Amino acid sequence: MSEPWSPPQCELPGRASIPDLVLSSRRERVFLLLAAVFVVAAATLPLLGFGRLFGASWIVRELGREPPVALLVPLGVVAFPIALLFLGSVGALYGRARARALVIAALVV
Amino acid sequence: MLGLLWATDHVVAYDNTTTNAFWLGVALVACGLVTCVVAVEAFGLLRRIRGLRHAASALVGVAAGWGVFAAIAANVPAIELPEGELLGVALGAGGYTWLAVVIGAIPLALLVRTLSIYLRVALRPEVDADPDDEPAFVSGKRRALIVETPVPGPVRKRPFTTEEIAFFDAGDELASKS
Repeated sequence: MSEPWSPPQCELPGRASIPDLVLSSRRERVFLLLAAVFVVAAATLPLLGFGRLFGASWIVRELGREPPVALLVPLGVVAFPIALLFLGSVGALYGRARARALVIAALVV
Repeated sequence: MLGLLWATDHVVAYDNTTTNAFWLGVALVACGLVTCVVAVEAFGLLRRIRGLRHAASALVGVAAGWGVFAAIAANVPAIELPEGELLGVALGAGGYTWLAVVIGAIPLALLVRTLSIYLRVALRPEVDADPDDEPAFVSGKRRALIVETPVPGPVRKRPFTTEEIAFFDAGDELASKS
């Protein structure tokens, strides 16, 4: 079964339902914001790439263990978790169809 | 973006400080793509563990993505990363990404909950909408929530008795007189 592009309006107790046009506008504006943050954060991965490498072994040493190799974090990866988090929020709010479309859009960029 | 990286590798008389940028970019794009695709699909599949969905899907996605990065980086000769450094980058970047997602999942959950009210979105429509999702065996805690409603049996039909027909006829007679 194909997933809906926009989920149906959920009736909340104690809150009036919103006209479809207003709700659609609201949802698209929020989606645009989430999508913009995702694309920018995802684009920094190849853009900044290996411009600089940070050592991350100290985190493991703080936990009382010795890492098997010297752990390195490239500069481009620093913002990538933000992309994953915003992609997750799009998936939770709008469904998998939009999240997939967003990944394809980021790939094109 | 990959085109720009390719161009920096092929500009005439460039000082070659970013040589291999293209292939490293390819490896990173593949890593990012696989991470996102696997995380989205895992996020959809892991409906049961609602509280840990972000962390679990990110863990699966990060493992797949940085595994792909390591595989590309190890097999493309143009990428000149020492083997120890390659493993360190894959483990370090993957670990950092997952840790940051786990830490960020708490404020994100609050943000998603607030937005779900503003956008009138039910956060668990998939669970309710799927009739095949019912487990074969129900635990005691859930069993307490199930209310057995009696199913009405078939209505027995029988013909009217002689007394009943006489009663109806008397009623009709009275109605016609009045």
